[in-house]
Amino acid sequence: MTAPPASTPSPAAVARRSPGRLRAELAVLAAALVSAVVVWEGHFRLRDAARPHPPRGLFQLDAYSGYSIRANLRDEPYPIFGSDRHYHVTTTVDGLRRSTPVDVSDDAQVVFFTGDSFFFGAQVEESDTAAAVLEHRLQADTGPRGAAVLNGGLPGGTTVMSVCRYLGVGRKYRPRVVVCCQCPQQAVPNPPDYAALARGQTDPDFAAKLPYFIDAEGVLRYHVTEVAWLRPACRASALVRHLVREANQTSPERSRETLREAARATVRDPAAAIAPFVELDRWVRRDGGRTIVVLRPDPWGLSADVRPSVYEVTRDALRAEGITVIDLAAVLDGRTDVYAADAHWNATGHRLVADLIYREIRRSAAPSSAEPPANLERLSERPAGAIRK
Amino acid sequence: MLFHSTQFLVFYLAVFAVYWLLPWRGPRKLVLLAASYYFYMAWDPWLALLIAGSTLWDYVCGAVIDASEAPRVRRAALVLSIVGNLGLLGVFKYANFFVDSALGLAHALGYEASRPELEIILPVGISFYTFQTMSYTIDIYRHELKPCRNALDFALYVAFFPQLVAGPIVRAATFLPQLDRDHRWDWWRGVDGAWLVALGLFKKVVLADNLAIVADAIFAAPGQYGAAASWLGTIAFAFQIYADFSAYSDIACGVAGWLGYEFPENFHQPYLARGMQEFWRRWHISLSTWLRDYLYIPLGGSRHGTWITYRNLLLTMLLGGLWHGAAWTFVAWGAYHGLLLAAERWWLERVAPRLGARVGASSLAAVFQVALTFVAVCLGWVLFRARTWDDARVMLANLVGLGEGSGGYVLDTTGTAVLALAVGGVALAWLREQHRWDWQRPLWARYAVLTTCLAGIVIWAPRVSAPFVYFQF
Repeated sequence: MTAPPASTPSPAAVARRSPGRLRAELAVLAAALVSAVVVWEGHFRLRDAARPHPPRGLFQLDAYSGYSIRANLRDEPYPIFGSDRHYHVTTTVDGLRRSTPVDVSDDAQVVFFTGDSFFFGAQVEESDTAAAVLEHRLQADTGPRGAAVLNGGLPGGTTVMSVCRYLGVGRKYRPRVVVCCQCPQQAVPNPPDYAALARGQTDPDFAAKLPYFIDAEGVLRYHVTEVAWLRPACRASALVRHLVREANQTSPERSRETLREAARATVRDPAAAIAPFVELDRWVRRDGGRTIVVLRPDPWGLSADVRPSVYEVTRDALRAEGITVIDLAAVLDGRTDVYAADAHWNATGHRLVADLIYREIRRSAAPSSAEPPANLERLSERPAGAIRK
Repeated sequence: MLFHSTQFLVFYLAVFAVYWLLPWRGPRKLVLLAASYYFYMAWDPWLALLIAGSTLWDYVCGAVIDASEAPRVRRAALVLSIVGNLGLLGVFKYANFFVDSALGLAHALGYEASRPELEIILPVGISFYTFQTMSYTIDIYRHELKPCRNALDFALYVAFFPQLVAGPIVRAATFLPQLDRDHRWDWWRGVDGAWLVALGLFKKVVLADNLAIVADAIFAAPGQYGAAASWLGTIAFAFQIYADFSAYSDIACGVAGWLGYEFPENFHQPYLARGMQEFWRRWHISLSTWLRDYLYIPLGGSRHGTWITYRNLLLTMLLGGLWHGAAWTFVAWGAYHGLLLAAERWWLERVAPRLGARVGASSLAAVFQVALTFVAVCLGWVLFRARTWDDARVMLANLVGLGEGSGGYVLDTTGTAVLALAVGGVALAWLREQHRWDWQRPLWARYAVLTTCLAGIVIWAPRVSAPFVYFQF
């Protein structure tokens, strides 16, 4: 046991190791670390700025549905993923995606679309959205003032947000048909306090509790932390945001696992998973309309390995509740011509979906006249028992 | 628990804090031992039983060898130690390989047999710690080492977490004396450790993980690619495996250094070697010296004539290849290196002296020799990396222009930058080795290199990082 360590420094190396050199070396370490932090911050700022999603200025914070589309947008351009072109968004005073006023007769057939970015029509012009195509087809049957399709789709919208969207915006148009488009594979956890929202309860601090914020550039973002004191740091520094995100393990694999877990939860308890759909259906029935749920397959296959299929479980549970379901998986699976570069529907996809909804509406005629809600002012007294946080 | 994970960062900070807060040597060693077992059990708790059993076995064998004067008893204890270690390797690392090879041979001879179901998991790091413990008992047998009197010290030597799973293979004579020292915090050690860890993380996260994307894509379907893309994939893998493995050694040396322990250098710019012998003096030095001291020299080394020397070289490298993995491609890789070493020896002994002055020592000749060695090593890496014999054959055919594929591979910006950084790193090392310019001397150069490393670790890290390549060995 007498052999010395093999990496004993040479005499020359020892000679260079003066106290002055040590101070210089420590200074180099500190300077390099500070410089690296500056480079990281700049890098993440540039990276955040270069990201096309989510679009700038499209959203506003909303005490009722968390966030919603900004009202009165006029031909706002938003980048089309994977190209240098843009699609344009015009909205009504209610934040519905529509460039013409709603001008219908008293007995017109009004259809309200609620759901996520697929119904909103991300990546396509308004005239190519399923709502516009469906309206065109219905008006061909009824005349220009005989039908309207109102597009309340909200990018990133969850099932509970769809309910709030109907209660907050759609209901006052007294739609005969409410069509809700969601993807069961992307069982996004619903933000807190929606049960209270659906009961119409107000909360003066609601904005601070939202999981969203709109940054200085007008981009709607998720808070990457639930720790209150970290939020200002996350807003101020792209590097801190990145580190917190990494610490939260929101890597693609982790996000995928979160979604898989949500999908497994749906499979374990389908009744809880479809509760917001059932709640929406109850409201719509009470208002004299009918609900159609458009279940869309997940083009990314994020929880494709969960068995039994969360899609099929959701579809069957909805049908068991007596809710009409348009099964898009049966039509879209295996087709690649219906998706844009970022896997939203393209114009072909929207036309196909509009056709299916049109046929469903025509197949089972909607009630002849929608009775107005018994008492709009008393809505806030309604419990929203089925709506889960 | 990978070195470049948040989990390891938290683990190491906790160990570091507790270790230096304790003023006594004994409790510090206990902390390191507990931390090492925790680190190892993070892969699979049952593995602790295996390493503990191996530790106890060799500790007892070492004590028996030292205590006895009778040659037969000493030899028996040594044999038991070696059989125990090789038995562990045989069962956990090579059982499936032996079964598959036997079945393949039986099939070739016209016999058919069903394959028994063997669900054996390869314990992480088993190749490294069994070689360490074997060297311990052999050194005691040779009277080159006194046995360790404290079983816990020996357990810490076997399980010390920085080098446990992927080396370097630290000899007992190097490590055990360090356990008897009083370690005090040394700022120079802190600076050296910071450099080693920063360079190691850069090599792993930036170079190895990004080059793996290129190499994996090309080696996944070698039949599709032409000569240029195949060379790109081979060179990318050559730099990937060097960056990956040397990164582990660097980080291991760095984190051990922060705890006051020193490991021997494991890599010394292997791609600047001017021949195969020199390559193995620079590549995985702790393994090549282990093979030299415990296999090549006991076989007779170069003491028994030319052909015996060639045989010894071939056998040593064959077993060295098999150490890397339980597959015939690894054996072929070892045989290839054995043949190259024998051929080089023949050239240097028989041909080069006749050429005399015609083989000069000019810079141009040096560059040619370095390039030739690199190409020879790269051809070997094809055997090492290919998944199957067919893939290796197709890839080698591509490299010499006889392949059927013609596809190209377009490097993205990151791939190009990373490859340029790898080549630039070799160029800097060459300038330093030639005493033309030492980037480690001027502070501004050290600052620039360190800033690039630190910035790159975060900016150029691919989304998914692979485990260290040598974990599988």
